[in-house]
Amino acid sequence: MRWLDWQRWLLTLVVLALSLGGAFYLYSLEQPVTTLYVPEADLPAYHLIAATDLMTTTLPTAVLASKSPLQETGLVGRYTIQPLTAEKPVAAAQLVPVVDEKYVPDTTAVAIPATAAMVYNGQLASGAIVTVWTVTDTEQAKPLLGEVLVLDVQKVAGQSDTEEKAFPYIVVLAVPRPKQAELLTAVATGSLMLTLTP
Amino acid sequence: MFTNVLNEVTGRLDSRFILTLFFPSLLFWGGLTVVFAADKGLVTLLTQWRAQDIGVQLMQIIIALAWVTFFAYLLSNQIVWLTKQFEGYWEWMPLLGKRLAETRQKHYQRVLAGIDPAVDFERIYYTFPFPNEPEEVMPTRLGNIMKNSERYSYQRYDMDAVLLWPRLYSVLPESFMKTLDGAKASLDFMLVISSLSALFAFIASIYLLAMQSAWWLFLLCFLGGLVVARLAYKSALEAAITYGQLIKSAFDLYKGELRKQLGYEQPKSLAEERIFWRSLYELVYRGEAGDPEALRYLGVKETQPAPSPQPARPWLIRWLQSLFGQGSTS
Repeated sequence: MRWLDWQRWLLTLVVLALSLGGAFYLYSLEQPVTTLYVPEADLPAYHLIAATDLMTTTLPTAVLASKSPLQETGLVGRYTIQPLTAEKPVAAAQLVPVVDEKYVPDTTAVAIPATAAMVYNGQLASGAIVTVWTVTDTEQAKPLLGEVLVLDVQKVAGQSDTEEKAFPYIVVLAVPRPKQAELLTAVATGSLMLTLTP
Repeated sequence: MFTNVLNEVTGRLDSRFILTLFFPSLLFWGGLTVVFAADKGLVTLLTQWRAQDIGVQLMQIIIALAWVTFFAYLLSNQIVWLTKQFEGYWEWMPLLGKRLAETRQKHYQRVLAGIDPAVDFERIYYTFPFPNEPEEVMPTRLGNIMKNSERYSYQRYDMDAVLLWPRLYSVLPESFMKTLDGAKASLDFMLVISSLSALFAFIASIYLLAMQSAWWLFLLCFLGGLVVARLAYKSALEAAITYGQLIKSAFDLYKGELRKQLGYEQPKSLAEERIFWRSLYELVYRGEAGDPEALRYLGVKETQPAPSPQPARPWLIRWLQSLFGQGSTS
């Protein structure tokens, strides 16, 4: 007659219960996660994001903003319009809207004061492509820079009444580096105009 | 110089120590490190470690190996205690220990009582104390196997194995000693694996629960560790049976050598032998043999007492006695 070793069976059941209970507890704590690219370090505004600026991280999907760019290709080669925090997901609103990549390479952000007319009374927005015109001494307008990406349009705050009337806006443009000096000279010496490039 | 140091260090590390204690310790600590790294991010930690200076890496490896060696050395000093726990000597545990031991003992007593010696004596012979000694039944299977080998010499020859084993071990031939030590090493190895696996299962699972890690990792460590512990214990039972049989053989084959080394005569029958060993036990343990006559020293012959010298007789008496043929003329 074989005696049933009920204590051994009880111990087996306890072990199984503990293992399944622990596994179920941990499973219930698990949240769906998303792997995405985030800045490796803090990035300033109007910075052209390169691949080396990014790293991958895994975050619970629930904490991600609904429109965060998740793929590396969605971030590299885009300008920021707000400072980015290291290791934090990037929201679409923090970047310049997606444009043809031909407007971006070898450019740098240059801010110029702008009149209300230049910005179409505030209607000019980030992502627009404009032509920069300069008015010469002979009062002839000629194009200075063609097909320049508008990074940002900001209304100036905290200025005196006089300055505010003349140039109430700041327009940040992605200017080809060779043309940077030319533009800045034109800003200092002449008047500029912007027209939208179709 | 480093080679000399290495030779010196490894020379002191017995191969049995390395196999039985060092490797299981290395696996134990290595496993815990992997669990910790897996939770933190194995690739990340490995990348950070690789980024360190080579000298720092080497120092860390040396410190890790030194720790494992130290741990294995501590373990070697606890092998006897560890074996006793697996055998069921749990009285040291407050409250639960004694009660659990009694419960398990009662279970195995019932099992032993249920074995029909006529049908399944082999099971008793290898794995249980004899049916006429139910009080010797232990709370675990390992304990019963070891008790079986311990009680064998008493059952057969009235030899107390606990008292006489250290003496018997000293007269064993080297070849037999090697075989015995090999069997003991196998048993120790399995018990160390079993205990470290169980310990790993508990430590790893508690850590993973606290860190709220992956559920599959928790399951793998907890269940996996306990399964390995169980399998190792079952292997230890087989090793214990082999070891137990060798102990019995040692008593059967070399008790005569022990008796000779102790300087006693061979008893003439099994009955006399049993009295001999019982008396020797009393002498060794209590200082006074119950039957001193049973302990006859080797090489001592019994001789006739020398005749006492006769007083000298006067010459006249001697002459008369010689005339009539009585006595000698001296």
